Amino acid sequence: MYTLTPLIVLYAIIPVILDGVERKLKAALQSRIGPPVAQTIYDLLKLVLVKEIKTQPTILYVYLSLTSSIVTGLASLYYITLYALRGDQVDMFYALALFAITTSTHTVTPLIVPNPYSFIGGIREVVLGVVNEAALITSISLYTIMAQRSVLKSTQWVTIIAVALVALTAFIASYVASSRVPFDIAEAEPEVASGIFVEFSGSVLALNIYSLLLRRLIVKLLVLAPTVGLLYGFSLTGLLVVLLLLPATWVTYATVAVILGRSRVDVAPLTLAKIYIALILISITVLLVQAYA
Amino acid sequence: MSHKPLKLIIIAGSKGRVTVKYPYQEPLITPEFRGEIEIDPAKCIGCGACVKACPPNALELLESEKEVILRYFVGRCIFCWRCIDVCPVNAIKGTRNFELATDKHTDLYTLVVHTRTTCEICGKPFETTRMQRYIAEKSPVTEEYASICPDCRKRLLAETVSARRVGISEHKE
Amino acid sequence: MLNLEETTKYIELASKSGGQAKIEGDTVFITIPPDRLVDVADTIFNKYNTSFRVCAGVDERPLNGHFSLVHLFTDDKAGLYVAVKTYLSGESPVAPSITSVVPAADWCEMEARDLLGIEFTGRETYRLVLPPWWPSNLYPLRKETPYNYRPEPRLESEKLGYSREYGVIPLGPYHPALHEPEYFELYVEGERVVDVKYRGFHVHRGVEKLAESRMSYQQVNFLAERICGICGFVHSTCYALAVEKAAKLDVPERAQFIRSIVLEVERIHSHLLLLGVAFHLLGYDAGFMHIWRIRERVMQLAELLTGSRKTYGINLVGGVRRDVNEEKKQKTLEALRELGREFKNFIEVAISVPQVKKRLTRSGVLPREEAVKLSVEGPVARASGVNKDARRDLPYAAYKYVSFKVPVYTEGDNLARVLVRVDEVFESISIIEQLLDKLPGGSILLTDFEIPEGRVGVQVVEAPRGGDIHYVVTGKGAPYRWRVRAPTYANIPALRVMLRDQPLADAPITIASIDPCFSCTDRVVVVRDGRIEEIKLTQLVK
Repeated sequence: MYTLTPLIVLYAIIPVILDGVERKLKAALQSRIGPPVAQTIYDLLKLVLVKEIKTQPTILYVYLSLTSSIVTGLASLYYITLYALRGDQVDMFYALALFAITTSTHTVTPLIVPNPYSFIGGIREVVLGVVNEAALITSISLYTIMAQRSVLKSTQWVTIIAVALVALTAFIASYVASSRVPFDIAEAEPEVASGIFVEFSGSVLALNIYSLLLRRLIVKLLVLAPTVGLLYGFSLTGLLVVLLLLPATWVTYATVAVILGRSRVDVAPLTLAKIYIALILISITVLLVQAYA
Repeated sequence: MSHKPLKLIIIAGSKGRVTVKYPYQEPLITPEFRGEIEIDPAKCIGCGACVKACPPNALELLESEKEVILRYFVGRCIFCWRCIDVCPVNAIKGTRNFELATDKHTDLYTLVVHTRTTCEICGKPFETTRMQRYIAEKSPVTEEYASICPDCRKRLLAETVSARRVGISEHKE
Repeated sequence: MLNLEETTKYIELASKSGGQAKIEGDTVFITIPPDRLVDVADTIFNKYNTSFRVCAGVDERPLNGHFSLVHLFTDDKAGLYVAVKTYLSGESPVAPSITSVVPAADWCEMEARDLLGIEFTGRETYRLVLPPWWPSNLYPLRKETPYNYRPEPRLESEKLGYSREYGVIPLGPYHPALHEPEYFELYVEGERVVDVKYRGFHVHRGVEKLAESRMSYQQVNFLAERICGICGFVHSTCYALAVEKAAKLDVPERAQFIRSIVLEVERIHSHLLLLGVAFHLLGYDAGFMHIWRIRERVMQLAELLTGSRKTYGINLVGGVRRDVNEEKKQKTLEALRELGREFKNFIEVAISVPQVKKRLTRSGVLPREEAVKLSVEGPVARASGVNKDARRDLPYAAYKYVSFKVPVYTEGDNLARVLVRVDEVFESISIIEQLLDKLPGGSILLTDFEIPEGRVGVQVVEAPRGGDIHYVVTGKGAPYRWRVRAPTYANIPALRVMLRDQPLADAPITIASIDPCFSCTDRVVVVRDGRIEEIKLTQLVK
């Protein structure tokens, strides 16, 4: 466990740097120069140093929920790393359980803030989360189970299709969980004036933003680890491949976010639910067919 | 879902970055741009035509016993250049300068100070020296007439007319 | 197009109602006694199918001891302005309200009541324009009130609306989605908007009183330009045209052409601005950035033609101050060609983004009957099937020399309003090319003229948002009365219809789709019990 400490430190820093890269890429796609890559670091530092404006007394609970979100997030990353090194599926289930705690503590935070915008943003996140978390956990669990090298060696094309479908579902769910356009309806600026972020300032806002960035890191590693395990294998080099693929994945997600517009809370969850149910049902059917055939 | 949204990447790629790192790079203004004005104190005659034309009263004429001051306050200026249009001696020049922020508010005021002439008859100050010279040059009046203030001129005219009517002068001792 | 045979019915109507009519150019001036006002208004609005534009109260006590009230209609099919005037008692002016037959006259009557003290009978009255603490016998627009008198304000904190059944979401006055201060109170049930209460009033600057008191004719052009940041040139042109109409000045043709060219340049810039803002509100920030990148070219073009990116300052009564030479003409044509190409290329990409298309379609619908009843203006009307455009119906400046299409869509949803504006950009590019081609020679400014007192001029100019109307009564060296009604004034009431039963997420984009220009409006709209009342602030002395 102690040898992995430097890696945990790396995990703590990577999302902030990659967010800076994402903003620079977004600026390039919008034909502008954009902020320097270290801008997110500067932002978080400034927020920590600036005077906080306490507008209501629930701030203590908010600190608790956000801190627990970050701590469980880092723990989840630890277990994903173990899975990538050893290929033991139990590690992945621990990681998923911890991730569920991370997301729920982060989602509950705006609901305890007495501000209508915050509440609306929080409810939107809950509605979207209910649909998406279920799909995320189901699809990644299935993916983990199916992600063994022996699967690829199998000549049954049905198996490969089933695995591909489950992987697709996992990637879509992972994108939705990363709270980017078109699914950033919780913090929509035009209608709810920054929704879940509206009452926060200073170090609480820094924690909130950091928790969000950490979540983006976790959801990408959650899908990258089984993919690399499936195509390459579970070892130290496998872990390195995962870490190398991470920036490319982040950039792809960022590009998708720039070219799309924001969805609506009554449209997005329904559409997503339909897609997920369809994909998961098809892949389970395929697996059953293969099992009985 | 069509592929059209992806075309954004191609458009952004072909256009490149269009933003400019102002103020570390030059601002984008054309040669036509209207910036602040510059009053040439050597040419200004203190007539006040610009003051009358200025919509936000950025140009003001401050009068005291011995002098008339034309004050240009750039804080109110809307850079319309009407003053340049109406100045009879072309004393005002337009520049392309718009970076006018300063932390000393006295920088925002430009003063052109004119001396006043006094009336030959009543001794009251009435117009600027330069204006008097300008009128004497430009219009067919004698210098003597130009150095009498308007009130005295009116009084002189009334007296002359009444003298012609009545046949005698009112001020005959 | 102007059709002078149509004036006979107005002359007959005037004489039948015990008054008189006078034709001057394209305006029919009808004067009738106050008790016949409602019938005449009914006939003109409902039977002759005209558009009601605005009403203006005038304090004419120094001239003839009376107050007067003028209702302005435009007969779009005949190309006529119809001004219906009545004289009211100078001591305690009372006029019958025409809101029973002309619902759109609601707010301007209340404004006349607040600012001039004209009482109206036959309707519910309330304070619209002035803040609640304003002394009740102080009427800002009366001639005896000095323009710089400031009564002591009594500051009180505004309370959020309260509703038992619905949640209340305040949108404004300071909100990241809004560019100007305005206050919308959305009553929501879950995520569905059930009702909306709106109050503006936050940027009233007393523009009309200023023009009457301390400005001269030529200075008011610059003041008018600053009524609005986006459509300022429309206001300054409309004022100049109204004064020129009143004084019967023969403005050189070249000046009219240059005015039309700059008006169309302004239209392009305004529509591109709105499209960018609409994309931003939908979450598609890339659309916002790219459209404004394309718009930058128009701003530079405006600076090339007029000397300033915005608030051009080239209009004077009698013509314009800057000319277009051959080099500028070539640069303009080249810029427009490239602009058209880039814009066409980009807008196809932007509208095809699935979220953009889905959220714009079938949201914020304004049915055609409501659009006609509320007399909405501009792209809002044209997107709901009302074929109304002042450039074609009441031609002014150089529009009679060009041919252009007026895009009309029938769906009335947000997408239709966006598409009307996209089409208008292409039409504007074509209009400018035609105008540059036909540009006549000659001078650009009329310098030797007198503006006689006591004349009246009414002018409508098609701003990017709809028809803007200025009413000028000339005085000595400065206007005696100047009344401005911007197009957003007529469009905001339609919001109540459009926002009903919409998801909350679509409220900002629906509000933005009418392209509101609140500083232009200088008004306040209060939605109360199913009626929207607008309050005009243009005479409020701060």
